[in-house]
Amino acid sequence: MTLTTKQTPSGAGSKSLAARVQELEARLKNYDHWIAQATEVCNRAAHGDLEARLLHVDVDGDLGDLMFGINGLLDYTDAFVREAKAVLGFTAQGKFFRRVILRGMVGTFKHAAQIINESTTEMKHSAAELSQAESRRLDIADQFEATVKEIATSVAAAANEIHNTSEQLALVAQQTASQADNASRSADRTSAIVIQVDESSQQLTESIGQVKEQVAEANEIVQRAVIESSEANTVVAGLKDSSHRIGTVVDTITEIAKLTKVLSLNAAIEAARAGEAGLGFAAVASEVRKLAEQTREATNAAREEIGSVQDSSAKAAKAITACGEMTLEISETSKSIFRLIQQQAEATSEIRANANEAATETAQVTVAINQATEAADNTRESTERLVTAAAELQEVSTTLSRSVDELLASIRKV
Amino acid sequence: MIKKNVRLTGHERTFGEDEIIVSKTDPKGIITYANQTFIHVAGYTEEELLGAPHNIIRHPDMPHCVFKLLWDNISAGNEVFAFVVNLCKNGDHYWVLAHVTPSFDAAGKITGYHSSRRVPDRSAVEQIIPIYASLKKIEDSNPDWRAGMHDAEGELGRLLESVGMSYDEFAFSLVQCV
Ligand SMILES: Cc1cc2nc3c(=O)[nH]c(=O)nc-3n(C[C@H](O)[C@H](O)[C@H](O)COP(=O)(O)O)c2cc1C
Repeated sequence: MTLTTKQTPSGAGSKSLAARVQELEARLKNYDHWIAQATEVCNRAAHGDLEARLLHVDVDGDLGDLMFGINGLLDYTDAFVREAKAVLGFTAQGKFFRRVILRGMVGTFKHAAQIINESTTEMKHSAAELSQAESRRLDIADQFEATVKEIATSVAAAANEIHNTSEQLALVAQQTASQADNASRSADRTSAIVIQVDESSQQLTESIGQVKEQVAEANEIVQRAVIESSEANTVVAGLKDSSHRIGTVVDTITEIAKLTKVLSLNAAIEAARAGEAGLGFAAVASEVRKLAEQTREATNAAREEIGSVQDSSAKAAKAITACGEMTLEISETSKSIFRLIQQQAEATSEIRANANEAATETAQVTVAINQATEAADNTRESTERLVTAAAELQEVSTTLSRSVDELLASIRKV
Repeated sequence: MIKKNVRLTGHERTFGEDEIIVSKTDPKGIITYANQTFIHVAGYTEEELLGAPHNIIRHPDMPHCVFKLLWDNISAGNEVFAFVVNLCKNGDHYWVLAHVTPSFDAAGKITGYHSSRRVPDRSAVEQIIPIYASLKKIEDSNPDWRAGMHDAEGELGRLLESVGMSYDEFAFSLVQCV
């Protein structure tokens, strides 16, 4: 190391002046050397070369301190520059963990180092915020994409569904329309039928009225017939009695004629006996006998007539009785016919009431059908509009997702 | 490299928080400058240090792989932070947080290296000691020191991966304990 001897003021006097001068010259030379060295190192440093140092320093005192001072200055400057360079180098690469190590740093170096560190912290925060913002932007883009894509997908699906549904709806509307049409036609037919029923039942009512009148008339006739037949019965019974009595008279006449004949015979016999005187008498007797004969003949004929009258009247009585019975029967029948007709009339008026009700209801049905038809028409129209809207919707959602893709591409490219 | 047999005293030296130990080497690691603090702490004379390889102060507890990492980085032009325990001439030791950087000429060529060392926090040292011990154990368990160093290097890599940091970040995170 150093060869320098301790310069003590007390030792100065013990040496010769020449030796002292020599010594001083040597020291001066050494001083000059170190000053030159220091100048060299400082000059290099002044030109930005922080590598040079003063090595093998063999001077003591102030000059020695100066040499070490220069080295120290350079060491701190060098260390600071390296640190600062490293920190900024890392920072430039986006690595913010690196700080200037304050330990070992002094004074202005330490202060500058603190400022660098603060800036780095600041930059770290900014960078963190930036990358947070960046990732938030990307997150938002992702979220946005996911949301919009979902919306677009569901819109497309909805549009598709609307399309399908509206097609089904259109079909249903068409079916409804044609069914309503059918229904309307049946309603028309129904109301025509109802009107016919009404008319027919009115006619029926009228006919029933007529029939009722006729039946009443027939009844009257029958009543009359009953009366008349019982009268006829009486007449016939009277006739039977009369003819019986006439028979009795005829029998009496017949007896009288028999007797007359016997008497005439007796008279003839008597006349014959009386001879000529009796001749006139005999003629009368024969005349009487002839008359008796004719009477017998007439009564025989009368008896025959009476017999046939009796037969006829018996037959008539029988017929009249049968007729009476039949008339009663007819009367009973006409009574039940009347009752039936009464029922018929009631039924008919019920039918009419029903028919009227049916007519009212049919009218209501027709109104409903018309409304249904209208609704079906409306449905068809709305459905057509819906189909168009759905198609537009699909187009819009496609455009939307395309725009979103473009938007996201540009967001993410930034 | 020359290795004198120094008896370890187990005595730890330390230096001021405002002080830095500075050394410079040529591209091969031969010491070209040592500042007064270095000279004072290591206990060598300037003459003994200048021209000597830097491993003159190498401590046997240091794993090889840390120096490999150091050299890999600085020869690639990067800075390195490393906790290093060094050996004094008398067998004492001292911990430093070394910041080793290359020096470049105007053309950008590496002309040598520079190291400034600060006194590290005790808490950082306490964290480093077991790590280095385990790396050293891995290295010593392999009779081929290169292979052992390679194993330890792998272990160090896994260790850094587990904390999700580069070596720089890791070392600096320990510096932050300061
Ligand atoms: C600028 C610089 C500074 C260094 N500082 C140290 C140090 O303080 N301690 C140390 O053991 N090695 C240091 N080294 C690393 C040594 O050069 C060497 O690689 C290390 O001591 C390992 O030695 P070995 O290869 O003989 O095992 C430094 C290297 C350079 C370039």
